[in-house]
Amino acid sequence: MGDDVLLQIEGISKEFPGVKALDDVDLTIRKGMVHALVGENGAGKSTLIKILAGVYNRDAGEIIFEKRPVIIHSPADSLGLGIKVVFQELALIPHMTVAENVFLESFPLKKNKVIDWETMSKKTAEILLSIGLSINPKDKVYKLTVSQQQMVEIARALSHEAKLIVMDEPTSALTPKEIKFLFDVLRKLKTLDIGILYVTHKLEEVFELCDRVTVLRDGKLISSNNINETNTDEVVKDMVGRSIKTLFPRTHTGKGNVVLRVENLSTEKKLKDVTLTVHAGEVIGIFGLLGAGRTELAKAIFGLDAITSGKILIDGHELKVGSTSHSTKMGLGLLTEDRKEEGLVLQMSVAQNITLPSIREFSSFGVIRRKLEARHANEFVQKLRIKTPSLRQKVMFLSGGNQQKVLLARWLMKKLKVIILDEPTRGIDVGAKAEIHRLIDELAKAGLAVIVMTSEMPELLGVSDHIVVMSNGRVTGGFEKNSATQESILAAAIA
Amino acid sequence: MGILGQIKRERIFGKLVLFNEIILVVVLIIISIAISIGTPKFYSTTNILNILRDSSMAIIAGIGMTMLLITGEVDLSIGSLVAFVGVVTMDIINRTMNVGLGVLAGMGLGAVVGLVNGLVRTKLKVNSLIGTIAMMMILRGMVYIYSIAAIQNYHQLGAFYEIGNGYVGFMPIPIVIMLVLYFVFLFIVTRSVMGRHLYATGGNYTAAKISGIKVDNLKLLTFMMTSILASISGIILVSRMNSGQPNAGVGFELSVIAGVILGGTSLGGGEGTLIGTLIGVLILRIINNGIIILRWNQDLQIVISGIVIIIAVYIDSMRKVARAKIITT
Amino acid sequence: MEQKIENNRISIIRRIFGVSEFGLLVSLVIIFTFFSISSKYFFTVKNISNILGQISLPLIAAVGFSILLISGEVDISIGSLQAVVALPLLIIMNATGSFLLGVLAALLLGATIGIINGLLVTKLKINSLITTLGMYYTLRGTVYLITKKVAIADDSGSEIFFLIGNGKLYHFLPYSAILMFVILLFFIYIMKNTTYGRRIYAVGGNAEVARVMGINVEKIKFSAFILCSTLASMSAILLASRLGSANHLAGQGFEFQVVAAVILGGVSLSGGIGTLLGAFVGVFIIGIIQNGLGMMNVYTMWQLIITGSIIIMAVAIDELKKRHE
Repeated sequence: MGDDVLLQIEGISKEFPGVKALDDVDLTIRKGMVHALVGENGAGKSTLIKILAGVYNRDAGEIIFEKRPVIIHSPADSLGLGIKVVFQELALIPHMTVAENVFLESFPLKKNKVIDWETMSKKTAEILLSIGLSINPKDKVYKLTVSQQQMVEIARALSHEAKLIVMDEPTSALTPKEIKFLFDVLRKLKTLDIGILYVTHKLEEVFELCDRVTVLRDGKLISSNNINETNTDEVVKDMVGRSIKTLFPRTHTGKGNVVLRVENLSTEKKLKDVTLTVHAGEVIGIFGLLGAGRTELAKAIFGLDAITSGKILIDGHELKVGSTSHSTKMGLGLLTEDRKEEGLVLQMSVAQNITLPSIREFSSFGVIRRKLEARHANEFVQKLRIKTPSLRQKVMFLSGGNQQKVLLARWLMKKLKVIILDEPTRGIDVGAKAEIHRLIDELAKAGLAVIVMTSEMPELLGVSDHIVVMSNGRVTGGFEKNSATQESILAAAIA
Repeated sequence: MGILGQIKRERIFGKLVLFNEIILVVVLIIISIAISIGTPKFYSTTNILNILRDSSMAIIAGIGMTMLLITGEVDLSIGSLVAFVGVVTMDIINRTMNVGLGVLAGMGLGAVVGLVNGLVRTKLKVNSLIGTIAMMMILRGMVYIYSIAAIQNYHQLGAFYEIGNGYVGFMPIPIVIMLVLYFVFLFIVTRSVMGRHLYATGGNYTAAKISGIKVDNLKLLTFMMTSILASISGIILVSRMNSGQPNAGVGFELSVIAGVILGGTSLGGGEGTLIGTLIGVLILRIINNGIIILRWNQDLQIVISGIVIIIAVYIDSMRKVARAKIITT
Repeated sequence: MEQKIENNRISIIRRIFGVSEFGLLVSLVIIFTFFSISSKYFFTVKNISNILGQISLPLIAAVGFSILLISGEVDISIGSLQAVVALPLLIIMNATGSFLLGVLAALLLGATIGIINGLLVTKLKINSLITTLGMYYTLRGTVYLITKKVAIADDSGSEIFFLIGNGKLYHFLPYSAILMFVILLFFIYIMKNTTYGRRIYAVGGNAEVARVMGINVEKIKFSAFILCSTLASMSAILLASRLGSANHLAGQGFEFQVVAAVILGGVSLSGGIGTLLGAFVGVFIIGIIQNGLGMMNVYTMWQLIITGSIIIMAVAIDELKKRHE
């Protein structure tokens, strides 16, 4: 082991119920180097850094920091060692000043135990200056831009004399100029002999900034090379590498008329001029990496979020902006990304959740006809093979896959024209995934226009007739099923 | 996490809910027995009718409060509203010599207050707990401005007296009113589309919205129903007291909420039953009644209500913690 | 370098008070001027000294309440506390003739209630709003029980007891106001310049982040509950002095006045935001409004209405602010 090795991870494994997030992963980080960690969503990157941060405990393997084996049980342990992880959700107290946030764990004190504001301000300014920043230490953090807030976190790390700084997807909310600034700062940190682990999916950044790149896929270590010994194509191949087995039955054919047309849709925060056309019986897969704007698009089309410009037309009729009840009336359905938070009413039963938007069809004069409701709900439980001891089982007790099916059943029952599925198989085991893909196929067969938002390449390629790629709120690519390759899709996604 | 695990958990939890109502009934019975051991007066028909009649106001208001809590909101202004309605109703009847007009005025006032509470919540986005506490103060101030002194009964109209004190056969009228309203709303909450919408809105606001439910309008309507029902309680009260007292209803919202929460309605929304509310309110009323006929200090009533609220909320939060554990596994 | 120049341009008042409090101070001046014009008795030495005396009660309680609110919790039982804490004060004073013993007993009771509230919220994890609501009624009921709704008059003949709430220094500055300023300045200093004070802001600002930074969130909140009740007890002692008795109706509506004043003063319901100075201005404004309205012969009932409306307005504005950030 060389003198400059800062962190050595050997054989780390971590398992969650049903998923092996990390499987025997090794990693070596050297002082004064920027080491990139790349992989698709679900590859295991965030699990690994959470273990380093002390948020998760490893199941197996060793962590050797500065040549000594260490155990990291808690965030305090991690910080104590000199490891600082800068997560995407910045860990700052918004209404406190920059200086306070930097020194929150231990304020510099005067002799009588009172806070020494001057020293604190001065030291903060010094640290900030050392990384090239001239923010006023007395400014409140919530007033800063995301880029500046990131810098405050880095400053905090420096105030604790951090030895290893982990940056988790740092650039998803930054402008190109800010990204350049971040890179300058990181390069400065290198000269201080600090080791940096740079976790990202943006390969152009990897090749611009980093010295070494490690690729994870499905929890396993695939490759680890010096930057000058590899190139983008090879890294992409390593990231994506599985063969696309056609587990995706495709029985639907032929598209019908245009059902949904989105024209020049923009929202305040993310979306810029999005145009989309979907036909009946067609499955459109929308691909994008973190922060591309897929969920924002889903919500905007459905009316959950406000639109600043653009139109949405269903069967030629314009949709009332921002009205979810109008959207449902017009035949639009949305399966949200976070099914628990936004989709299911956990305390209600399977039957009740399935019939929620359609309840009026099972009622006369406002009174629910329970037998009718139960009969129809049961129909879908059977059709979708939802595993539940009874229709009256509260949805909170179902497994993730079955909960997803309940949501699908809800929209299937509604006889929709358009259905938007946002990450429909996230967190679901392989078997249930295949079933849901089968159902998507059936939806299309039944004549619906289906939009599937996903960040999983195999799913995308298997399920879609037409692929749309998004990046930074814009549409950056469109592919027909046959002419799409993983590489070209990924290229469009990081454009 | 196979089917067996699922079934076991459903049994435990499903039982906990049913469990809740059974436990309540058991508690009710035990307390009743305890009191009647203390004094045989408890079991007389007169006393039981008294209990029911006294409970009727809290139960009627409790219907509205339950529905409101199910949607995830609360209304602490009903105590002041009750006083205001009493004063206004009596005054209008005095001036117009028309009971119907007075009752309509009272209920109309309730509707307006409910509307305001609802708008403060849905349009101004003010948390309903704080907003209705503020309304409680505003209404109390307004009552005193309307009339500092109690408004006496100058009209002496029979119909008015009957509302609070009359009988239909052997049943006191307040109980009849309560039963009618109770069963109507029981049907609405358990069997109607609106009832389903209430639970969905409180259980998961966004999911309800996505399903096409007009969530804000529903909350607004529920606030109004709560206030209108509370105003009916106020009308019954003013009839029984035979004068419109500006200081009436102090602490009323507390006893109603305590009963509702005791009955299993969750503060978080999405859960609760009218049956639970009925039993919860009855338990508290029986305790109060017991305190009176056992000749204990009456002020214990308010102390006990306060303690009950704390215990009930504690149990509620325990349930939430247990549920959260299940969801995250 | 540019930033340093900017700092010097910002006026001193703004630097000391912060932008939101600046707006408050302006409102204060405006209201003050309005009442001075409306009634010739308003801007007199006697009236100002009255106002100072009047606001000393809610302000002392508001200091503790604000600290608790900044830490992210509430205690709406402080009104009932006013009545309950006066009981040991009067009872022991009447029995022993010693003001000091009575005060100690009162403060002890107050602190104990704070401990109970703190435990219920931090250990049993019960929502503080509802817990203290329950406490609000429990304490009030207990007062009714013990006093049988009859006020306990002061038989002790203790002069200090009378002076503390009613006496004035040089016929101008009420002793209670002196106490108020001492407490205010002391806690302003603590909140601004000690690790403890800053941790309270951190916990209220984002408890999870604070926890990750090694701050014992529960301990901080627990201490805040004790502070709130103890300071509210001091107000109670002053109130008892003014009334000359332990009254079962004391403090009714007090908690809501304090809440309104403090929110008006910029302390946010969500925690982590606001200053004691702002709370002071808020209490002062409401105190002036009440005093001024009294001069204009407006009924006390209107105060309830106005306070309620202020609460709604202040919270609505607070919500708007939140949505804009």
